[in-house]
Amino acid sequence: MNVFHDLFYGFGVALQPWNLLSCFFGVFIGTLVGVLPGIGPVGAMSILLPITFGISPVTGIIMLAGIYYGAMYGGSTTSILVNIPGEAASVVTCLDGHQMALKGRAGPALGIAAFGSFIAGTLGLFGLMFMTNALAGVALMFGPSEYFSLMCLGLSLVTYLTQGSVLRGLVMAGLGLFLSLIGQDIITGQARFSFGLMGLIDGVGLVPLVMGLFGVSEVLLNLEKLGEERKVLKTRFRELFPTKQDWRKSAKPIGRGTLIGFLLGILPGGGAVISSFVSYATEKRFAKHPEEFGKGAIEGVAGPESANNAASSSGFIPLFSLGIPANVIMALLLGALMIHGVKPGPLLVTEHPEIFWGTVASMYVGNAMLLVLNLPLISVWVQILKVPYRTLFPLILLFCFIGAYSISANVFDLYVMFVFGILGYALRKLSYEPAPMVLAFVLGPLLEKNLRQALILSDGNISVFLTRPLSAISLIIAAGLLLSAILPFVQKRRSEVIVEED
Amino acid sequence: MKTKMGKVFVACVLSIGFCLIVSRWSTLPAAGSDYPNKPVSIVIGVPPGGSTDMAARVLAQFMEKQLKQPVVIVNKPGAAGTIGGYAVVSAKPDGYTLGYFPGSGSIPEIYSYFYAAPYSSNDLRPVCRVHVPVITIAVKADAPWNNLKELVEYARKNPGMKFGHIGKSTLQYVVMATISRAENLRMIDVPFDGDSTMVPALLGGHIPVGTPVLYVIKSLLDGKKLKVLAVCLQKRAPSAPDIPTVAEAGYKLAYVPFFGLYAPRKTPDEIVKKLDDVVRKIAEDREFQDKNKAMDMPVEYEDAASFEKYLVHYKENIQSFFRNEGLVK
Repeated sequence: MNVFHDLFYGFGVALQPWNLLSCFFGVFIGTLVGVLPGIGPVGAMSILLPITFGISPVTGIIMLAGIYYGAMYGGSTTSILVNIPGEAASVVTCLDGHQMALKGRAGPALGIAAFGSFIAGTLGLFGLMFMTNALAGVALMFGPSEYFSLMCLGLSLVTYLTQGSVLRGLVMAGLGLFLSLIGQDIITGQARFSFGLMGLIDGVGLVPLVMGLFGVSEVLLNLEKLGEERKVLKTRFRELFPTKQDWRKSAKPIGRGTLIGFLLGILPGGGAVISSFVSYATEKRFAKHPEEFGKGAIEGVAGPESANNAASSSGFIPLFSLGIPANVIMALLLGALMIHGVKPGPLLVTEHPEIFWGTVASMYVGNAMLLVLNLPLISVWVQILKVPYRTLFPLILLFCFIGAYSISANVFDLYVMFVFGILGYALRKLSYEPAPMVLAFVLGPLLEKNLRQALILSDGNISVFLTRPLSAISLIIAAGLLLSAILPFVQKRRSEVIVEED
Repeated sequence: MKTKMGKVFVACVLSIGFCLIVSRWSTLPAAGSDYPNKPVSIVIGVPPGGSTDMAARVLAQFMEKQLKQPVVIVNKPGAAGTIGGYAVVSAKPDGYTLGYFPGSGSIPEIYSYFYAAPYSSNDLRPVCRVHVPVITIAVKADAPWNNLKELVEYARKNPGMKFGHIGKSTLQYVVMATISRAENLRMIDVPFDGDSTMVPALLGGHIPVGTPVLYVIKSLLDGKKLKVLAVCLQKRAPSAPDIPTVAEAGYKLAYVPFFGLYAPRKTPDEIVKKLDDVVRKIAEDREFQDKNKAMDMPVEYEDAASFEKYLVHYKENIQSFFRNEGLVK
C-alpha cells in the first residue's frame, strides 16, 4: 500500500529528535491551556508563532498542531470536575460528566474522555490519510442552501438537550437565536442591537458567553453552599478507570461520535462545537435508557468527547487539500507554513510530502503521548475535588476572567461574561437549562447567513431548499426528528388534559 | 437566604472591581527621551493567523533588530478593526503604542453608515505605508472567461450575474460595484463573512465570481482549481507577475487597499521620524521583501508626508463612492 509507505516516511520525519521534542512540547502546552477554563489554544499558538519563523516548517507545524489537539483532550477536565467547560466544544460534557463526578465517578468520566479522545483522534487520522481529497470534494457540494438545511437539522436537536421541560428548552433556544442576531448584519453591513457599544458590533463572543453561563454562574451557585460542610468524595484507585461495564456502554457512542465529529469537522465554522452537541443528541436518541441522560450517563461523555476530537482531526482537511483555513487555529497553521513559502493546498502532498506525512505521523505520536500524559493526571485532577470551595472558586473565577480577556484583549468581553454569569445564575435558579441556548447561539449566525445567501443566489425562490437533494434530505430528517421529539410531549399533554377533565 | 444573596452580591461587586482594575492597567505611564528604551507594541485589528497578522509579525521582527527593543504584536480584533484603532488613539502618545491598519481601522469616519467608531482619522498620525494586500477577481479554472473584459461582456449580456465579496464596507465590494456601475452591468452582490467561506462557495460553483485575497488562493491557482482575471493593484504583484491589474484591463481604480503604520496624533515628530526611517530601511531589505513575497503581501513603502496625502485622496474617493451608492448616514 502506497499510503503505508508514505506514512512510514512520515514517521521517519516525526520521530526525528527535534520533531519529537516539539511534538511533546506542543501537546504538553495544549494539555495545560485545555485544562484551564476559557483559555483556548489560540493564545498559546499565537505567542509561539514567531518561534516557528526560525525553525523548519515541519517542526513548527508539529508543535502548533500539538497545542491544538492537546487542548481538545484537556477541555473536558473542568467540565467533569467543576461543571465549567474548558472550551466551547466541552459544554455538553458538563451535562453528564459533572453528574458522574458528583456520584464519585470522576475517574471513569475523565478516563473515558481521554480514551474516547485517543480513539477518535487516531481514527480521524485514518480518514485524513485516505480521504482528504474525496472529502474536500464533498464539502464543496455544500452551498448556502445545503448549509441552511443542515443548520435546521442541527437546531432540531435542541429538544434532545433538555432534561426537563421541552417548552423551556425551546424558549432557551429562542433566546440563543436572538442573542446570535446581535452584531453586523451580513447583507447591509450595519450593526444591529449594538446600542452604540463598540464591543457589540461583532456580536456577543462565544467564549465570554459560555464562561459566564457556565463558569461564573456555577461559582455564584456554589457560593450559596459556602458555609456548608463539603462532602469529601472518596475515590479509590480502582475507580479511576472506566469499568468493563463502562466500556460496554461507551464503545458504540465513541464510534458514532467519531463518525459525527469527523464529518462535521470538515465543514467550516464551529464544526467541533456543533459535532459535540449532535453526538450527545444522537446518543440520547439511541439510548435504551434515555432517562439516565443528565444524571450521569457515561455515553453522554464518551460520545461528545470523541466527536470533538475527531472534528479536530478532520478540521485539517480543508487546510491540507484546499489551503482554506476554516477557523482561527487553521489560519495560524496556514500562516506558519506560508511564511516559509510552503502553500498548503492541492499540491501540498506532492510538493511537500514531509510536511503532510510528517504532520499526520506526528499526530499519531502526539495522541499516544497525550494518552500517557493524561491517564496519570486523572488521579491528580480528582484531588481538585477535595480543594475547599473558598480556595478553588476564586481561582476558577480568575481563570475565567483571563480566558475571556485573552480572546481579543478587550475588557468589554469581561462585562459580557459577567452579565451572562448573572443571567446563568438566574436561569438555573428558575430551572431553565443553558445548553440549548448555547447550541442555538452557535447555529444562529450560520442559519441566518446561509438562508439569506441562498435566497439571493436563487433570486428569492424559496423552493431551492427542497429542489436541491442534499438540502431536501437534511430538512426531511430535521422534520422527522422534531416530530418524534414533540409527539410524546403532545400526547402527554393530551392525557394530562383528559385526567384534568375527569 | 439573606446571607446567601449577600455573598452573591459581594462576589459581583468584587468581579466588577476586577474588570475596572484590568481596564486601567492598559494605560501605564512611561517616560521616553532615549526612544525606545522599552518594548514597543503594535496593535492590529484582526485575530492572529491571517495575512494581516503575519505581515505585521514579520514587520515587528525586522523592527526589533533596528530598534534594539522587543516589538510585540497585540491582536485587538473586532468592529471592523476600530477596536484596535481606538486602542491606539487612546494610548499615551509616546511611540510605545503603534497601530498597523488598513483604511477601515484608520479612517473609520467614512464607514459611518455601517458602524460608529468613537474616533476619526484626525486622531491618528500616519507614520508610513508598508504593504498593499492583493485583492483578486477570481473564477473557477474551467470558467469560460479568461480576462476581465470577457467577464464584463458576459455580465452585460446576462443581467443579474452574482459576485461574492466579504461585506459592503470592504474594498472587495467597492471594486466590483465600481466596475459594475461604470459598465452598467446590474450585477448582484452576495456577501460572505470571509474568504474562508467565499472560496469554497466559488470552488463548489455556488457563486461564479469571487474576490478573495491572493494569499488565501495561491495554492488553488498553482493547483489549477481557480484562475485570477485581475488583481486590484496599481502595478503587478511581485509574487504573481503574470496576472494583469484591473487598470490594465481598462477599468479605472481610484483607490487601492493598503496597510500603514500609525501612532496616536500627538506623538512627537522625532519619534515618528525615527520610526519612518526604520521602516524605510526595512522596506529596502531584500530578506524582508522575500518574506513578504512568500506571503503575497507586496511591500510598497511610502513616507509619512506622501502617505498622509494619499490618505486624503483615498478618503475622498471612498466617500464619494458610498455617497453614490446611498451608503451614508
